[in-house]
Amino acid sequence: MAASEQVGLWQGLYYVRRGLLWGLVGFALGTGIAALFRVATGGNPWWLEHNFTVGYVFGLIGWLLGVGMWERWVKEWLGLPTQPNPHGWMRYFAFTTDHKVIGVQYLVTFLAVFLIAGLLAMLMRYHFLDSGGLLFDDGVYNQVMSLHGILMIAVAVAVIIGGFGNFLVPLMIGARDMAFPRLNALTYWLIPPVAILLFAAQAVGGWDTGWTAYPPLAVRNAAGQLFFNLAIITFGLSSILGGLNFMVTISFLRAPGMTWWRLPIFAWSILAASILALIFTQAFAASMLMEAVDRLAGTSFFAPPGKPILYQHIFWFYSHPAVYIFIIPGFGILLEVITHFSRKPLFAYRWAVAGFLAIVALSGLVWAHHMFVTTTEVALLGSFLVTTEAISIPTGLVFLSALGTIWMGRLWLTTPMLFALGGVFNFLIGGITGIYLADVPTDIQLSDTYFVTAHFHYTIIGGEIFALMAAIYYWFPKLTGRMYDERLGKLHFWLMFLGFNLAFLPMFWLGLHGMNRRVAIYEPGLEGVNMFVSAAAFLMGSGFLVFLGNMLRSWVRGKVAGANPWQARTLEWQVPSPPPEENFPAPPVVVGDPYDYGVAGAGPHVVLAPAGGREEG
Amino acid sequence: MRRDLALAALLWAVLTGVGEALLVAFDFQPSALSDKGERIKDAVSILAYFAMPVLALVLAGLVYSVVRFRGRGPEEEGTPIRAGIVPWIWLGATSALAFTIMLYPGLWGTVEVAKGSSSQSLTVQVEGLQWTWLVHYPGQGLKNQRELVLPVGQEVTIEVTSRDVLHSFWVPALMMKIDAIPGTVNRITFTPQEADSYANNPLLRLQCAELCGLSHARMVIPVRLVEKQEFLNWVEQQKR
Repeated sequence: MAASEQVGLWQGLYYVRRGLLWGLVGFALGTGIAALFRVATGGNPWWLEHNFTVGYVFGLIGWLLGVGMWERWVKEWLGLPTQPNPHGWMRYFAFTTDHKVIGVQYLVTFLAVFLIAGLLAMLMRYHFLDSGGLLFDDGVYNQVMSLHGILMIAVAVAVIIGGFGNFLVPLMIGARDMAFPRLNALTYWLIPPVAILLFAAQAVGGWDTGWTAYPPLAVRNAAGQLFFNLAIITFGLSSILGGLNFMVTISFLRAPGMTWWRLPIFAWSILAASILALIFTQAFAASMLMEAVDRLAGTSFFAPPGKPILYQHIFWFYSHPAVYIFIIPGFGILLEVITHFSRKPLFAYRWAVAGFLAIVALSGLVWAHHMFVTTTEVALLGSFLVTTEAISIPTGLVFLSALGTIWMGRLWLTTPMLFALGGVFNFLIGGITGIYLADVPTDIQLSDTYFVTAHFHYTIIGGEIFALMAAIYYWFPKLTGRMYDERLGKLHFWLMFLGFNLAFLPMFWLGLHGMNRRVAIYEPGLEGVNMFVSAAAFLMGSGFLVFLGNMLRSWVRGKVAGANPWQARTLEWQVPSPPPEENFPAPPVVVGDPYDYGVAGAGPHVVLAPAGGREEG
Repeated sequence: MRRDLALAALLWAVLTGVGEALLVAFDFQPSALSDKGERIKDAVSILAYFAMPVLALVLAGLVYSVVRFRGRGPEEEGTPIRAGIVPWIWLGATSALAFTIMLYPGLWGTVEVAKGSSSQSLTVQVEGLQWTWLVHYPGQGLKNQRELVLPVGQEVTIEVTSRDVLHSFWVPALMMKIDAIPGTVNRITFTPQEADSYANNPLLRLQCAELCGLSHARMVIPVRLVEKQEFLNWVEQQKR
């Protein structure tokens, strides 16, 4: 292994290079086949959207094979011997089945996407320093806003589940790996083509329909829209397969003694989100496929004489549950971090789990609250008002659990704990303002305004991304074996917490005072507040420079952390940092609850060497 | 523990009181210039009154715990507490609150704002197209106006549709919004309350609220609310 650590850059990127090459070959092949097919049916061989679509499908297959699916999976189907994972840093740049490698791949990829999309947000806030717009013309603004939207949605879908879910769930439940390791690698390697498509779309003018891609506009749009649809179908496939993998893993690969009620709350949250991803993402992919077929094959699902509103029903049937795919893993992290740093058992643990599952059950029944201004049909408005407001009840149980846990605790205010407590506060604002959008009368005025923009940023940044930051600081020692800089971590927290709240609280006011969403210019009277918002946004953005510096420096030079710097009870902290490839030398045996801090006479959560463990338990 | 509970409850009560007082003292919304808009504005306030104790409860719990229950490291451990009947009480209270706001201002308000037109209604047709609005007054024989003029005190029914892609009819000052959908006519009914104009009040504009492509942000025409006689004069003037 020592020798393979020293592979050069060129050699180390072998699989990525081959993936790109095979992808290009596949693309050319697909384009040619489409042209031949068109000639055979008596048409012009080059209708670029057709050629491109077929080329993309072949190119995607070529990419996957080239990046290593060939050696580690497909050869088996042909009765040929497969090859093991590459070693050293090279394994991060190849089709590798180790869940920890895949977790890091996801995390680093989506943090990079997050920073790019965040930079776009900074540009937009600069643009809004003047009510007439400082930076972009209308078309470029729409393009930038749309790209920011879909990139951030992709981050929100995948960064926690793909990053921490992959890295931690097998460790937390005492498994050797995921149930389907090769499928797991596939879900990650479907992502780079999505990114390539979304960025390449900008070269052909992008698309200007936001991340929601409503027809008829999306069917009439330039070719960038097709890139978007293909990207989302691919991304959806990745999400569906990932959800399936987590459900099976958590259901069947728990270590002996890891009963459902000893399962760490984060693993529960990933299970809940996976159920949603598996069931609902299919509707999202279907809506994108139908829209693409409307363009390519002249069907009329949504284009006249079809119904444009049908699209919204299908789209939101996924896209509302999707926000729970974002936030439930966030809840899992918040509760996980809060209980470890309160040094106290998780309060009302089973109620919090029941809350997650009730959210899963209800989330499929609330989609049309995004459509309250499409109709005046009271039967639709009233029923979706009721289901949507009902979802606040199980969400309340998560708050109960968080508050009950810190009550009478001994709060150790490290950086992850600060982010977790900040996340609870932010999500409260997000939740309360959500009621205004679930209530039909107030939504009539507030839908499609900055009130909505503020609300969903409070839930997604304030809730999920704060939880992500808590997770990054909390598990950084486990991922890297080194400790981050605590003072820089706290500086990051305060810059981000203050910057975030100062930027997004005034947006509620902007919405109430008539600033609509997704506009390149706005009423001059709102300029003062917008300048304040921009300044606060820059403050928040500067926090990420601190974050990035801290992470990069600590990864290389941080103090060696040891296996369990937080003295936490859960399984992932009982193995070395970073964990060895096989996770556990022998299957661990779970003998107690994960969060029994301060409980008199409580034994450990887990015994790593089963032979010696029986006396201790 | 009992003392902590009492102090936290006091903090909760104080925060709630201060919050509610601020809500009463400051009107954080612009004025609504239609009858239904006033109901919507009231609903925003009512929900804020309901939200304040919830906000204060969580804030009090967070602040009190962070101040009082500090630890310095993993050696100091908290005092485990049994959940007991607390989750049942919590569930009961949150459910009661949720069901209350579902009924009022929720469902009650929904029926109010969705109320259809009476026979007295003035019908105005509004058509969205990339990227402007056309206003037609079928009863008055006026077509293709580039300004929405409405009489004060007169019930109005707006019939909204689109020629191309989705748009959304929105006049912030009237607090009325409905999507413009090609192939569908959506109707909303309301009564303007006060004479005013875009020149004086920037919220009196007919603004597209659904992303509709390139110049979405510029898809605005002025709105003018005028006395009934002035409306009739305006109609005459336009016909000439």
